[in-house]
Amino acid sequence: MKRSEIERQLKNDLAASAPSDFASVLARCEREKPVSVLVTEPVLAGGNVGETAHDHRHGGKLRALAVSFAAILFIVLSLVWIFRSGSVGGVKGKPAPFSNGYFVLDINPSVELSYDKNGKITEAAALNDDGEVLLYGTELVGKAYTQATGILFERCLELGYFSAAREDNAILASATSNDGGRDEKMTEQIKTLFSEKFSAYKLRGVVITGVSNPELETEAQKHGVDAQKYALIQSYLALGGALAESEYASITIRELYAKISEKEAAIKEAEKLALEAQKLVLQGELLEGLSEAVEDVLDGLTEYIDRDFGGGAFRPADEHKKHYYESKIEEIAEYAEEIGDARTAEDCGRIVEKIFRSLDGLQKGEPDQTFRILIESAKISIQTLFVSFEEVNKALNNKKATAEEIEAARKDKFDRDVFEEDEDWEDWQEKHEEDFSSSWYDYKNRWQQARERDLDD
Amino acid sequence: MSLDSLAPKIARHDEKAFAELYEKTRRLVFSVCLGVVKNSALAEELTQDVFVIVWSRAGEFRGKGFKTWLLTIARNSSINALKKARRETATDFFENEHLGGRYTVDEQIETGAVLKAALDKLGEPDRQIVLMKNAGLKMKEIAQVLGLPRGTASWRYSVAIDVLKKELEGVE
Repeated sequence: MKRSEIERQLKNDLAASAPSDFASVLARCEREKPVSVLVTEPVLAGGNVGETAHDHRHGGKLRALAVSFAAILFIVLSLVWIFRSGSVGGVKGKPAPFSNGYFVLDINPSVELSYDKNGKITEAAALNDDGEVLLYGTELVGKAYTQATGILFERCLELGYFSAAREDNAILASATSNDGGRDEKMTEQIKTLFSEKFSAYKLRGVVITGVSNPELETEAQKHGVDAQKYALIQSYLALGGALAESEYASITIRELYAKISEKEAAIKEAEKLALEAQKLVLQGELLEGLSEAVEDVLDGLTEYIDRDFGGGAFRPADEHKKHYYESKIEEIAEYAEEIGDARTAEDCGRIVEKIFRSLDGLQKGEPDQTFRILIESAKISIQTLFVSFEEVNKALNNKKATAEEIEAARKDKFDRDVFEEDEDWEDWQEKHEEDFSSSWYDYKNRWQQARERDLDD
Repeated sequence: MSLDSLAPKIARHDEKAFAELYEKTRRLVFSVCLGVVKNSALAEELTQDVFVIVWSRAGEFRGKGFKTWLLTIARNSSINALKKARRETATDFFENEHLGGRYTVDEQIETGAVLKAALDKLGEPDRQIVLMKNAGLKMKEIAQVLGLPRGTASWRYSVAIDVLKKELEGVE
């Protein structure tokens, strides 16, 4: 009977005999007082005993993150009319130029501009971090809305939110009056302003002037909010956010943006951590695989000793030597086990070095030629296994860089897009507005999916 | 999670951590107990005792080596059980070799032939070394639990396997 067979049967017998009733153990723990047992034997010094600290590792495949570049820029203008009691128009006797209302815009960067009935900006606030960057140093308060939007447009150009290389420059502008209805006049004014700016700077850009998705409109009305706000709420819910329906009307756009930004940041962080964890698990699996493979190689040496050492006919004097070799290989096999617990490829390398030194020690001066050749062969096998492990591990570590490179490539691709020069600018705008305006929410999803497809390519 | 990191959780009576410890070490604890008492029913009871002790005394553990601490409890509990059995039984059915006696194997033991041979034919500490090794302990750990030099433990293991081999080949 081979040694390996004896060991296998012992393992099976012990596994079959060992108790497995944890419920009874727990029940006893809750019921009984402990039995007093002296723990008199000291834990001997010598480093880790038992299992070494081991990262909790999960399986999986690394996935590149979707890019959240501002392929589309939407400036949020929230224009809030301030009523003055008893006065409607800006000039006595003349009607005010606009009806009271507000612009709800979406996203990145996002700013909120309040203005009075004469169209002068009374407040400018950022709704997200990019909005802060956009507004920095602009001093819009006191300026006419026409001037303010011009300044913001130029700033977007400076900061790269609009680019001649992009086909997807866009602004969402939709005015809503305080009574909840759409303010068509102001909406048209904003559309005209930005369209003219796009044209003047020869940019491919579209001004989306509202969501024309009937279903979305219906749902929004049920909740007492305009369609843009409803779409924004849906975006937040889609990210895993929670908002009671009773809060739909009362939550401000600013609050919604803050929540969305937080959620997106948290998701990004969680995905980053999950990727790192997955990478660690995969590395752990590689190390365990290497450990087992090396142990298999060493098993071959043990089998030889067991079966054929000294010509297969053991003399009493040889037994001593046989047991010596077996115990040495046992020691080397334990080094191989340690590979599975290594934290890094460098740790693994150090253990493999230890294995080689031990095998060299066995080989040196060994008169049994077959055994010497077997040891040499074992060393070559282990070296090959380790080199393969290093290659795979290196590729695994590069995956993170690859994801970053893909993000950079994605940005380059957008920046390098070439427009068809013969396409009419107005036609292009109209064509794309129809695509974009079906639903702001759907539009965002489609762009997100397009980005993810590109990253996967 | 490493066993050392489970210790403080078990000290706080975290059942999930305790379940994890149980699952990871029940075979080891059983093999230690069985190696001493050579009776699987008694070894099962002792295994349960050990975990009950760990539940109540995990707070006393400090530093590294929770596994060795656990197995030392297992070994000591088993030795105590033998002493108690020796005092209580009329015939010297269980005698600890450390105390100068010999073991007999419980005939009702439900084990495979190899395990039975190990319990029957191997003396101390070879029997314990063989059982612990095949329950998953490393030689270094076995040496620590038994208080032996590592090389001696490896050597004794090799010799013990040879004894078993001869015994089983003789039976075949």
